[in-house]
Amino acid sequence: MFNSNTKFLVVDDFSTMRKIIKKVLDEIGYKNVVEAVDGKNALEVIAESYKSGQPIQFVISDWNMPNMQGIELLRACKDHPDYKTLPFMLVTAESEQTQIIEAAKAGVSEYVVKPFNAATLKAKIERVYNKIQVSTEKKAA
Amino acid sequence: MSAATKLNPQHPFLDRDVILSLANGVTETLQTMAQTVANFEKPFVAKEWQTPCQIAVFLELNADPYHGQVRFHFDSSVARGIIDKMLGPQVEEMKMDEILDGVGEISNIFFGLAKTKLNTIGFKLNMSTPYPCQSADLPAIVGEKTLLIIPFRVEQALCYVELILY
Repeated sequence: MFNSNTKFLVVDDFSTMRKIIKKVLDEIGYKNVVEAVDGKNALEVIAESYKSGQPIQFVISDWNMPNMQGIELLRACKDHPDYKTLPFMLVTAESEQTQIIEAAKAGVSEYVVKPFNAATLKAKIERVYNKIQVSTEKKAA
Repeated sequence: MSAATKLNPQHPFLDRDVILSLANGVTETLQTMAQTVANFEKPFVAKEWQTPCQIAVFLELNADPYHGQVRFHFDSSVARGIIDKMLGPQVEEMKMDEILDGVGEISNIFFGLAKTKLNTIGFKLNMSTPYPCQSADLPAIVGEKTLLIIPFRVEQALCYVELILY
């Protein structure tokens, strides 16, 4: 699993969902969690975190949000030289095939469908970690 | 409830799959996110109906040329109980805006699940963002409409899914 000091950014316009995800992360052992209320706010938080020398290391974002949607935030991160390798998990209440394909094309690391429980979120974070490990090993080989 | 009330049989929201998808969305969400059981009761049709609940979430439906609205009605003690179970017991008394945020999110999940199921069977449905409010602040629907009310019980308290067809 990721180091317990890994800095997570949880993005959702509903504070209840941010609290639920924070609670699950806390239960898993991740205490370093910051929040943003939409994609636009998330980009500001990410930029600030890089400036401060304590960059965000994992983004968990809702899809449907005002101002900037999760998929747009994902694309903005992938287009940015500093953020393009940032692990990015999308959380959504809709699980249509077209949406999953759109997210995969945009480079999402994992996709979580609501409703979810703590075990699902933990398993998805582990999958992201394993993917990164495999990718790193391939590059090193 | 009015026994004389008839629903437009052509209205696409008046469909077994729509009703079942909404009910399953509620049941699955409450079970997974809040370990809470919701038991659905017999739906009924009405021309006018006044919610006995204190908290509501509404969203607009559109499947051109048909329009409607879905409203989820929650007893305030049920809403608090569900949020408590999702977040763990709260140290401080929950404020109304926190309750509305919680039911807004949970209704978002109810309807997201229902919409996904409906779209996979070819029922193309557009919806607005769910808007949580106190029941007293629900917008009035002007003009001819028909209501389909689907009651569900959570820990003895009655809550409702209201489908407004117009």
